[in-house]
Amino acid sequence: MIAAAVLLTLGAARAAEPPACGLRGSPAPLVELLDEVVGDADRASDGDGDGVPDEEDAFPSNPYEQRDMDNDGLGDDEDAFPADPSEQRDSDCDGLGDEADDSFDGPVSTEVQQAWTDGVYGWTARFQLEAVGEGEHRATLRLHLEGRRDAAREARWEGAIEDMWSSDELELDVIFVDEASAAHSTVTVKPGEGWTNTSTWFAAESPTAVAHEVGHHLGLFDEYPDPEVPRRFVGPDDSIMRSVDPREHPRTYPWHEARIRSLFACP
Amino acid sequence: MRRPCALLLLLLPLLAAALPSLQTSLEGARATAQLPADLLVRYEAMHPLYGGVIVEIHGDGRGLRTQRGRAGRLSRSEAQLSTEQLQDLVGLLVQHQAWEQRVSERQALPDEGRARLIIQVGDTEGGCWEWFNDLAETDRLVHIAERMKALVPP
Repeated sequence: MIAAAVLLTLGAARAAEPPACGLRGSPAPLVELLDEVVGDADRASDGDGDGVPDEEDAFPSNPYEQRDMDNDGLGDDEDAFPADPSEQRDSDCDGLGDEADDSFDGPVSTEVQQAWTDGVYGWTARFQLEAVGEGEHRATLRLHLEGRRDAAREARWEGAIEDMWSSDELELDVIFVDEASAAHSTVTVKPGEGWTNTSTWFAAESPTAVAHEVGHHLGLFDEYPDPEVPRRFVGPDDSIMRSVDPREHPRTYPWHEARIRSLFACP
Repeated sequence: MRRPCALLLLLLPLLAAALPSLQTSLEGARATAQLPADLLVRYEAMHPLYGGVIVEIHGDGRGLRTQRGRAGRLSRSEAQLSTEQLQDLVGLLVQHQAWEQRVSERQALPDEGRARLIIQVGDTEGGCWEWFNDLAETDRLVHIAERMKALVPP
């Protein structure tokens, strides 16, 4: 009983300290830390970490889609006609699927405002998404940069961002606006280098990292292993949402564009 | 049988209070210039995307630094700290009451990252953390981090 009391006492003493905030002992290499985050067994049963086991997931490598009710290859989230295998989109929002619709009566524009959470992280994606043709979209992101402006730097960033996110079916237009009230979001630009994130960019930051952050503004999740989000989907090494190292030549994957386009909702 | 149990329960808070807290240990170390040999101070600011640094300083003067760049390459360095340098660090921990977690948990922004300070003296452990975007405004953890990084250069 005395031993139990001592143990209880030690426990009480530890509890009296502020909560422990990290790992004890010698520094563990990051690789080891990250291996602990997503175990092989977890990856095997739910490869994309979307909470739906692979055997029940119509898209086991796409964290944004789980079902395809009409088996037409397009996930239900992106499919405007999820129960009709012959139709996928209604680009001009006239109620008629594009396959049956002879004319495009657009463009049709919508303002996306969607809140997301990813473990301890949370943010709101705000941008304009416009249907400009059958199966063709244009996204416009107006950002207000707070801090010292630099036209040359902004031109570099803008070019890299638009190159990264534009394709044959999705065109991204990034506009840096002077007034915060005219912007979808405000980003603080700080001098030097640092951990660039969704609301704070560093002046010396690579265009690749800035393009990654714009991915969040467009509603995309991170895809790198993070101890803060143990069950996160880990994307391919060269996915722009996994790596910002230019030597990896980060690029987009089909689910990125599909996700952005799925946020289009007819008014 | 019930009385001894009740007595022990009553004594528990007293027994707990008898164990030195981090505050007591560190303030005592500063006042007496006697550093606990089992002291460990560890600063972690390692971002899975951008890399970062982990600095670990032991009560016997050993300093270890692990650094990772964006390309994932790890580098390590070591330093042997003088008693004066250790005392100086302990003084800084006491000045900032570094065993206290002062900011509350909040939802972070994607890629923001967290910096942590862990202090151990024997079995007693405590510390604090801050989200990256708050470091400059709180102006607290950043001082300890800069000192530790200077003590164990790359």
